[in-house]
Amino acid sequence: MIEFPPRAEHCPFCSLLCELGDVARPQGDWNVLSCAKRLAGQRQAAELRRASEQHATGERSPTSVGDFVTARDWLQSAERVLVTGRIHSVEVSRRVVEIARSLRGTLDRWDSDVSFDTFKAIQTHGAYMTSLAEARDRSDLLLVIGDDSLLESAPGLPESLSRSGIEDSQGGEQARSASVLLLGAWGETGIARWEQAGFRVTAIASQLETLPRMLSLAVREGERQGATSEVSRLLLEAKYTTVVWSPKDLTVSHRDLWISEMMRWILRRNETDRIGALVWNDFGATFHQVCTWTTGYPARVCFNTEVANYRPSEYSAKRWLERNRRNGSLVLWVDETLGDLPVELARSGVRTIAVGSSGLVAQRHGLESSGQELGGESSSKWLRWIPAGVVGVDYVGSMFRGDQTVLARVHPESKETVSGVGHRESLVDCLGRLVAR
Amino acid sequence: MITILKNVRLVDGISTSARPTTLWILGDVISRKGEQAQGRVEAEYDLAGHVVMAGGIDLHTHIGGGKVNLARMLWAKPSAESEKGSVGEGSKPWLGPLSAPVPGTWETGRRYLQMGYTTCIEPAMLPANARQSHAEMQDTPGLDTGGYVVLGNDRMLLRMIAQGVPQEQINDYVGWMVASSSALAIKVVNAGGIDAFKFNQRKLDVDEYHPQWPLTPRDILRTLSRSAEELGLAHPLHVHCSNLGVPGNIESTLATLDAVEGRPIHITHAQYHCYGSQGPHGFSSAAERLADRVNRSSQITLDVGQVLFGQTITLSADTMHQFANRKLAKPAQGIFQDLECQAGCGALPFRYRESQYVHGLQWTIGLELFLRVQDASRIFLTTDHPNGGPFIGYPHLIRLLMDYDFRMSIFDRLHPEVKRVSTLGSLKREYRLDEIAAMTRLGPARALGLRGRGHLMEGAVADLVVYREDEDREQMFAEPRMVFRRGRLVVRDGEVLGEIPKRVLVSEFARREESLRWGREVGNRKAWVEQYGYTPGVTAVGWDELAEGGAEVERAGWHD
Repeated sequence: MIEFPPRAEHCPFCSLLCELGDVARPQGDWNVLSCAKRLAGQRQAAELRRASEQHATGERSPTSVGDFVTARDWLQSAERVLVTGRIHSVEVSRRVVEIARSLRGTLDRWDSDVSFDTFKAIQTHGAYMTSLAEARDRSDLLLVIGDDSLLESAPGLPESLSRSGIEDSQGGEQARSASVLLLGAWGETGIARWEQAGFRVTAIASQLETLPRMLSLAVREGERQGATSEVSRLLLEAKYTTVVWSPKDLTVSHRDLWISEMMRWILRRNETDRIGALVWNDFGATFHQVCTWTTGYPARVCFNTEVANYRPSEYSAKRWLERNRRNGSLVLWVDETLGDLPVELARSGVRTIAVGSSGLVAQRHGLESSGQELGGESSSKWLRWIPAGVVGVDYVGSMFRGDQTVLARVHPESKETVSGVGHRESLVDCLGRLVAR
Repeated sequence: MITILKNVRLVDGISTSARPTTLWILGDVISRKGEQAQGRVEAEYDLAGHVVMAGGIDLHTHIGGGKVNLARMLWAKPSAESEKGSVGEGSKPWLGPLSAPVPGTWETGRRYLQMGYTTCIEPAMLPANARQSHAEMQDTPGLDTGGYVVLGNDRMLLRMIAQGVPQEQINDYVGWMVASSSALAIKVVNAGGIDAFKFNQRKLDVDEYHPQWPLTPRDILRTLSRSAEELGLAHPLHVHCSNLGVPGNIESTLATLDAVEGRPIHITHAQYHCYGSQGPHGFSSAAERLADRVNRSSQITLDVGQVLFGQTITLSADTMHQFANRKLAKPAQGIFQDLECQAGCGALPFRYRESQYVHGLQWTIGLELFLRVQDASRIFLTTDHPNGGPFIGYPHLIRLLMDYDFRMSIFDRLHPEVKRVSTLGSLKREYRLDEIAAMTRLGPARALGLRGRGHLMEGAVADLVVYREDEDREQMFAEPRMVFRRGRLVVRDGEVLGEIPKRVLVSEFARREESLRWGREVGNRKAWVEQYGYTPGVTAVGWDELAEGGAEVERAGWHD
């Protein structure tokens, strides 16, 4: 058996990056060992499943034929439909686009504001981006913006960007170790994580709001009068700089303007030097990609004509909910995560069909009574749950890595990790049954 | 199940039947002697005044993959205030404009199908991005699809060539890349140039050294063309030459042809690669030199990448040249990416204008190429969608080729300097229908190794298009009366009636099994992990995975 050192692999629980051991077996069969986050996610799924199975013996099982029929009736009689949720896999994204088209409904991902800030910023001037493997192989300076929260959503990022311990391609020397410049509000823990991954780290506490301007000035002044600061020196010496940030974790007042300014600087700098942005996106990136290729638009579309109508300000899920709290409205909530139904949705009292595990979570937390409290009437009047499996736990799905360049298959974890996890119906099949004529 | 098409003229790329005849569809294939067939006649059509051709094949159209989706995202604009006025409404929406230069897959598939195209190939799949490309193509309704895998800037290959690794070992690597991407062929884009740009080199000529590796684009072209030949791929190396769009680039294009040392080669979007540097703005046509070369060698095929006036988006893996053209973008946007140690991409909105000297000359250069290359089955009709213009311009382009007066009516509107320097007016050739069939059906099918497509011979796949004969060839080709997919009527008078299961076209080359072993070998896996940070299987797309997605896999491998 030959073992490689731990390497980044794809995972549905940590932005598709986590530390895994990749083990070669003599027959050429390769297994992937799981990360802690993935294991925790699976255990949670198993626990929910057991709760669901216990509940299914009761009278008010969310999977009862009666409830399923009611859900279909609601769907068929709805005058206005919003298809939304937390959708993370290509397969489910495709299906919800199809469903929204067939229902002439509105389609958006829940909480898509961060993504739309990025789209808006890029559409203003453009962007120069790079990808994970490119940054890892080519970059001699990683300029990482934000704080420790970046490593909470993508815990494997430092190791994935490190070439520490890898032989150089030409002659067997140790590969150069890139410098990391941490800008923002990094704590000791975060700094230590980058150092442990083998980087030479410089951390400079800085105001994010003014960072694009500060970087621009550092380069300009450095070019005029020689490096006057550490930032200036590092930027001017670098042959290929990668600027890393996660839009979700940017604590700035106008995210779209900030990204636009940063991208402008990066584009300008590329006129003489080489630099790229490694934008680390959240799970919703997969849905936006699929929505873009199937409809031509990243989301926030309405299928009231043959070709999708795109209005980013009007067709956001939350805005739709605000404007459609009346009879005849229906939300088809599709969830590939283990999160709860959003409070805004529960409070709205709009008829909702929840497909996925969120219904199970809601059930576990007794949302039925909360529903009475929040919506002023029993949740049975406005909510139907149709449990389905979780991508990467119960069934195979395809998801984009955080930089949106590699679309990876995410397989259910191997049997030794969580024993007794059965294979529940996939969300795609479940949705298919729901809309079947 | 039998369908009979009576009183129809057959145009099969070799000739046009002088008299109306009968064509039978038996199940999903064509028969020329169907009167002997047993079975129920499903439908019988009297098609007097019509011609029938095989379904169109576009062997170079950007319909799926990361850069295509970036272009869609970049272009996405809020729909018009009045929903009633949006695209898709009206009595004949299939004749209207696209909702965007690069529309979504649903619209792309339907519009191609409504135009009589049944097979489309994405020409630039990155190995790391092959799954996305296939996923997008699988979501493109109505069309059978395939893709070329982009090599020649992948650092693993560059390292192997630089280190003098034997060709046979390189072939195994290349074979793995083709097989694990479920590709149809190999494409090289600006050999070595995309990678050189990552090292801040802004230009790389065919015999110029890469800044990092001791090799030149000529070495890469020679190596990859040998791999394509020795692996037994039906389609030769599909080459986007160095110096795209640069005045005087005819020299590097001819050097590229020399670099493959007599092996078969396909030059793609050739219009962008045959420029001289004479003339009023240091920009002139060198179409005659390239056409002469093609006419003298049966080993060369071309697709043109014709420019059509109007708004579009240019997109390419050639980051070096896309970035260089950034300031020409209209509107002023642009998105670029360095990708995964394999290539890059760039997307720029662009508006081709009749009144602009360079754009006008590009228009004439493309047409010159079409008119100067004698064998219509070796030059293929493309706009390099969306680079030269969206694919819905094909009927217009066909009319330009078939109608000299129409061609000249547009030529007369161009910049005065264009009319002074261009020889287009002296080229009186008008394409015949069988030549159109050759360049849009038979030729591409042969070039790709698709045995059962592109012709009307016994046993061919019954992908058929029925056109009403019309002197206005643009009208005729824009609005087929009927489109059949594998024997089933799927479009009638523009209306899409249904779909059939998709097919993905993949290469079945001689050394495929050996190549698949490359990715399992421990040393290769180690090298791969060190390069990319993940194992080779992470990005590999198997035929079984394509089949799981609902597509049938069709193996291509016909050597004519």
